[in-house]
Amino acid sequence: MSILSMTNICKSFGDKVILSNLSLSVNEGETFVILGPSGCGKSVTLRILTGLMQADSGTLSIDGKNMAELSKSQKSVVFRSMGMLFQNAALFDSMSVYENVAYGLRQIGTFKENEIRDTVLKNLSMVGLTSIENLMPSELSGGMKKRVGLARAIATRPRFIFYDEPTTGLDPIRATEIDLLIRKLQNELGATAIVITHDLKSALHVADRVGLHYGGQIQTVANTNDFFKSSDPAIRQFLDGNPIGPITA
Amino acid sequence: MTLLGLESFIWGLRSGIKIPNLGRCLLSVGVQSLPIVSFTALFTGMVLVVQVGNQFMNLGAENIIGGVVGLSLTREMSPLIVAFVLSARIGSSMAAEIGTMKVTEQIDAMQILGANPVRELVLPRILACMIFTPLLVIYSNAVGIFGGYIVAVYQIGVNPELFFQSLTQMVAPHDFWSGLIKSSGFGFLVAIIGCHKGLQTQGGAKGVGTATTESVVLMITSILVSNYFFSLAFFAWMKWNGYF
Ligand SMILES: Nc1ncnc2c1ncn2[C@@H]1O[C@H](COP(=O)(O)OP(=O)(O)O)[C@@H](O)[C@H]1O
Ligand SMILES: [Mg+2]
Repeated sequence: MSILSMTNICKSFGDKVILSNLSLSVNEGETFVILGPSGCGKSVTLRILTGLMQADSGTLSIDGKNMAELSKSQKSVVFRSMGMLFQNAALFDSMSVYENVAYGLRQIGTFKENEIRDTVLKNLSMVGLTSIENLMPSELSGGMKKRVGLARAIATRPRFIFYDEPTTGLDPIRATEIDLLIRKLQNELGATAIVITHDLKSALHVADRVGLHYGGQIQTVANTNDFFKSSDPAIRQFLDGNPIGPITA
Repeated sequence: MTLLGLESFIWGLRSGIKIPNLGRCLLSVGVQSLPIVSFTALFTGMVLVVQVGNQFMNLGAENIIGGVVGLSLTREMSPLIVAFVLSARIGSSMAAEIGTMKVTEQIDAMQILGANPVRELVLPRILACMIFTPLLVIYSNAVGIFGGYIVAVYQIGVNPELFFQSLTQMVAPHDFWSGLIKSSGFGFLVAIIGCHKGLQTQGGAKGVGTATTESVVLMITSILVSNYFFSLAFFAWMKWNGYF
């Protein structure tokens, strides 16, 4: 049953068309990977899904509810059930690791300080980090930043988690660690997840289903195994890294 | 930008304001601006007397030098000095800090985590600037008058008692208050422009640089233009109340 769906979404910046009639449907509890070349509009798609950006036209429905028909406060309830790991983690650099992870909990406003403390430490240990809560983001390596960003995203136990290029900029070993972490969190938390990436190995590690994003749409969707064995020319071009084919810049 | 002001105001009314955020902003606006305000005010007071002192002595107007210094400082110079210092020192860093948060997606992260950036970032900065500018202006008045006094008495040879006599006779409470009130308005302008330019930032480090520069230019021009109209209004008010 589809819990998140986009239908005929269009988005342009000036006369530059980024998304044209993009449609996407994600099932409850699955991890859906959107693969696509850099600059094709993957981040824009996520921004529209999370309410950070408005589509020019098209329908976004979450939990079977058309977002355009909800009131502002109903919308904010839906958007509050989302967590996101940003491409460069987007940690608040004026706050300690602890305060970063506590941030979403504090916004909810009903937790006592000792509950916040327990939750922060528990989530940090879920992403494999201990005794770093007093460090500042500038003192962390790229991989650690992503982990802290992940701990911050999951601290409020969102029903939807979005990952924007979780492995980009990491060495292959750290990248695999993050993939395994995503997989582990998916198993433990059971959230519905969308991962956008251009990292094939990462897709193979974490995806239940994969869609290929190019030409302003998510063109082909398949189960992970079928995707990597597909003979679809666009998929083959992307998997083989061939500059010539249906995917153009 | 008007919208941003309105939104901050509404948030302020609706939900109160986070004290730690405000505290941090107050500290950075107030305490860290003291040295540069001292320096600028001192030399402005001194140069005022260098300019008018000798002329007034020659005209036999020694007895109004203190008053002229006091009036120029309280009504115009101090509010402008503080506003310019604030633009350069605080306003630009607001634009840069919020702009950096924007291009590194920290503002987006705030929103996803359920926070309202206007309430978290803009409102405390506006309040801090509006509260602290008048205090800095009071301080700048004192330092500027001290500077003027030093030059008047020790360099030009004005009688110290005459200096203070004319100061207290010529500077009325409303002169002092008008400076404080408009400086609070300047504080508002600095904060709202800094935050607005910050939130509008696009395109990486270069964008942050552009936003910072643009914000300071806009602050200084809008301070000068609004100062003109404020002074017009002040004189209309004085006339209305029969001061001259
Ligand atoms: N706020 C914006 N204003 C103008 N252009 C934008 C904006 N956000 C993204 N773009 C453009 O949209 C295109 C897709 O961007 P993005 O979704 O970030 O790509 P990616 O697939 O690599 O994540 C890029 O060409 C980018 O320049
Ligand atoms: Mg991207």
